Amino acid sequence: MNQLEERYRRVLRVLPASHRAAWEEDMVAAFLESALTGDPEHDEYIADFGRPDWSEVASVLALAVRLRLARVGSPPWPAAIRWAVLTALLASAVVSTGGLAIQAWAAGSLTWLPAAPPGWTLGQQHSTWSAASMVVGSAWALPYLALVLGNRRAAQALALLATAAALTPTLTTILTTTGDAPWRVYPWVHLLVGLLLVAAMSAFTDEAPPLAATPWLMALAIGTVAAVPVLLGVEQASRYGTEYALDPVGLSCALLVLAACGHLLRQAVAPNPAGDAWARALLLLASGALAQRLLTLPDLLGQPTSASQVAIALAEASAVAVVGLLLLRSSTAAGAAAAYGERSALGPGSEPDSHLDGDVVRRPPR
Amino acid sequence: MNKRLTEPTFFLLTALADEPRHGYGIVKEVANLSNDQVHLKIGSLYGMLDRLVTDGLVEYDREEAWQGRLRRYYRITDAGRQALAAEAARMVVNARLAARRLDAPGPAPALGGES
Repeated sequence: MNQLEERYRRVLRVLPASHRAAWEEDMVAAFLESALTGDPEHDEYIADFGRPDWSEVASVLALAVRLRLARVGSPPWPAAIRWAVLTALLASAVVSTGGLAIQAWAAGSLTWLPAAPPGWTLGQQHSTWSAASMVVGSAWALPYLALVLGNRRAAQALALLATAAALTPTLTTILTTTGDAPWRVYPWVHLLVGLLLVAAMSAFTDEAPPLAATPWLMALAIGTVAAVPVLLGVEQASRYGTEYALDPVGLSCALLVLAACGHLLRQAVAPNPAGDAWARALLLLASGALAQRLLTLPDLLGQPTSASQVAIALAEASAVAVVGLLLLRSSTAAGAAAAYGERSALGPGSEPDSHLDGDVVRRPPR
Repeated sequence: MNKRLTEPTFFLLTALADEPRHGYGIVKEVANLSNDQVHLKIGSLYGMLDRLVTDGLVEYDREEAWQGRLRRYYRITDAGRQALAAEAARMVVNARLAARRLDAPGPAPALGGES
């Protein structure tokens, strides 16, 4: 491979892997042919010292932008967005329903269970209004169920209600506190995430393939039961060792890293055709979790154990970033593999290592 | 397919109308057909080819060895010919309309208002 070819291939790296898999060899051949003048001496000089001119580079960059924008509106992105929304809603539903169950138990409402230990009066509500807003703000199971059962508009309305209700305590604090009340980022980030989720639910169009509701309903039931001991453990940790407790964002990061590792392991052992869309869904969630983790760092400052909490938060952010990169590689590889299959359908010898009359055709190394 | 063709796409399909061509062959033929008015860059060419193959207007024809590399040739499909013919007919109608208006003395006649 001469220097000019190497430089052009480097430019082509901005293109999506799937497009490169299908067209790169052809593009390189056409580009090198266009660069030749017919004068052997001059061509040799160009091969060693030539560079793709700016107009060629610009055409490749424009193509990269157009292809990536087009891919956002084409499969598997819509499926990835739908699965990301469902997974985020499922996590919210599981955690909030488990949390409500623990609240009810701590308040003594679940008389058939052993009484909560002394001091377990979680977030005792002082009025009917605040209790109602707490319940509505924690009722993420409702929009989840509406979406799984195919009622997108109801799901959006319920999610909007839950998002607004979750902000009530913050607004009440702002309106009723005199003096300098500590300003926290988390409630506003929570509001933004809620609004993004509501907007992303628009991906559940009428044209979208129908959802298999049963696995998602089972996931809610099993997840809620499994969430209760986890949430109790987090509560215990926050009581007896604050610096090691996971805040809601930390919990999201931990769950996401576990889910991503599970997905990547499964793809390594037994690749699933739907793996590309799932990798993208988890990638979207990882981006959201990483943004939340970094945006809420100021909330951890100014606390007695802020140094260790910030260190833990940065470790969480790093773990999410690492799995995010692995998911990006996984989805890109899956896309390239899909394109490779399509490329093979173009005709014989379209593979990168194609043979011609039994011999690999290659320009001899200079 | 009733989508309007852009000028570069029109010339690309025209370049393939008489015989299959490889990538750089298309670039040269398009420049020739357009009197050097349309110079396709390689990135633009393969973006167009990708779309045309996806839309079924162009398809893979064959590969040939050339200076140690493989040249992949493309040919126009029947759907591609129909799209090109439709665009050419539209251009003819538009050109005639403009010519008629330019030749007509005084106020421009209304469409279809020939005496």
